[in-house]
Amino acid sequence: MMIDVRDVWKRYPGAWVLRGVSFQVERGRVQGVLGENGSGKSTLFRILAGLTRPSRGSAEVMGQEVSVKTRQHVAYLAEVNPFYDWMKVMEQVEFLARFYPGWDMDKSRELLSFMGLDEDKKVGALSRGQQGRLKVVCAFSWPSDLVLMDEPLSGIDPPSRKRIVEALFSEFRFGEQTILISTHLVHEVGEFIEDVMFMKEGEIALSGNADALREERGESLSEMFEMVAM
Amino acid sequence: MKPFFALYMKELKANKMLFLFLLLLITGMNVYGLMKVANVSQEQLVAQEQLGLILKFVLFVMLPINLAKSILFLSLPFLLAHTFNSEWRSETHYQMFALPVSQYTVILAKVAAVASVGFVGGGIVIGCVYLSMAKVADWLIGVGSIFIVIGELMPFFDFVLIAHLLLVTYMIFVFGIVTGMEGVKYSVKRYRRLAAVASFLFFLFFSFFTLQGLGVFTSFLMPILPFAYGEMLIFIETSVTPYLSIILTGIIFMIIGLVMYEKRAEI
Repeated sequence: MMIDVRDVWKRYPGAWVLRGVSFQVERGRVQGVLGENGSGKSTLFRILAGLTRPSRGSAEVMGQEVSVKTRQHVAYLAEVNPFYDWMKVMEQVEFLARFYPGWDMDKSRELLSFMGLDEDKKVGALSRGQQGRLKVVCAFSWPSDLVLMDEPLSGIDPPSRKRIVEALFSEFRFGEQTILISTHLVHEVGEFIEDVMFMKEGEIALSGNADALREERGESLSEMFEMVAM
Repeated sequence: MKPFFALYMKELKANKMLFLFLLLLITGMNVYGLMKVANVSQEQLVAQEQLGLILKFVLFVMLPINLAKSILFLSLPFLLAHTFNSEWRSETHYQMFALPVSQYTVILAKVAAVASVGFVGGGIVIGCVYLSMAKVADWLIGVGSIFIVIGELMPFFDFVLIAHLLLVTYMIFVFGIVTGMEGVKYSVKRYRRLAAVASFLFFLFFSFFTLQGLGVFTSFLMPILPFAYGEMLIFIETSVTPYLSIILTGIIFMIIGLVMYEKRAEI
């Protein structure tokens, strides 16, 4: 089991943002986490990445409670752009490479070229979309066991999104990496999602195998997303 | 060690403008101070007839050097606090928290980077204080006044050793307070500024009430004079106990901060 989340609750000042979330993800699967803003997706990702802790319940990655140890196996694309403005693009990549085992610099260069990013440009000079691309480069430059992608396509221009998503899943994914992806842009990643989980107000409103749900309900993932959101 | 060094270098580069500005300011003020000292003639000194006037004159001539020293030491805790705050303001703390290293490593790299600035700046200040006071000692011997009363000039390496003991003690103490404060600040989810101020005051008052030797830090606000009179050094505490108790207190504050940050801070 790659992810095992059991009855996770999370409270931030004034509100419970997760309310008893439980789910498991098998190794090598692509799991979509879909839901409106404020449904608790990002908090769930932050818990799995070890940036925050559950108020109640437990979250395990590769059979271990989330900790520094599990972070060695997790590539996390935050919803924000967490890069240092003063670093050059390659400098930022090299900085991260020092922390992760098996970081492949050749692949980083290949990804940077594919994303159309200039290695010598300062990160601060990149547009929001370009910084989004850099996040993807950093996440797929090393053979992590789990990739957590929190709104990976936000800021990236619509014509490029499809091309990037296709390349990530067909070309740049390391073997059987487990991928957890949250997005509003369901139609652009829908075909790659194997299992899906719809969240609403901190709870799982609907979950299951994506194909089985489509067949059972006769709806696309986008339609299910809208139905859950209502 | 590799991740620590990477984080240490990152901190130096991230704050290089601030660090360089401070070091250049310190260097500039010290060079100006040395030039001022060098330009004083013995006649000027002889003109100050009374002992008190001579001391005042010496302090006036030494003002840029003493000011540079105070600026350096007072800015060190602010620099460390800045490294924490800039990380959270720019949202790069997401990257730091996601790294497969403990937050102890991240924080200690910040402390090491600011301590490096402290050592470089402190080295400049200590060297310049000694050089200027050596010059002052020459005048005083020439004039045949105060120097006879307060003693003889310390050997350079003795002075450097004692001044660095003071510097290290000070840095451990203030970095302990700042780390403790930041640990408490980011352990709470709201009222962070209030928590920071409250913890800072608590650590400070705790120190005042428990440490009898905190007075050694007055040396930073007063001129350090590298003169020895028998066993006694002027304006410098020489018994080891106060230093040890301050170092220990600083380490305890730092451990509190590190543990709070590692165990409680979250995004």
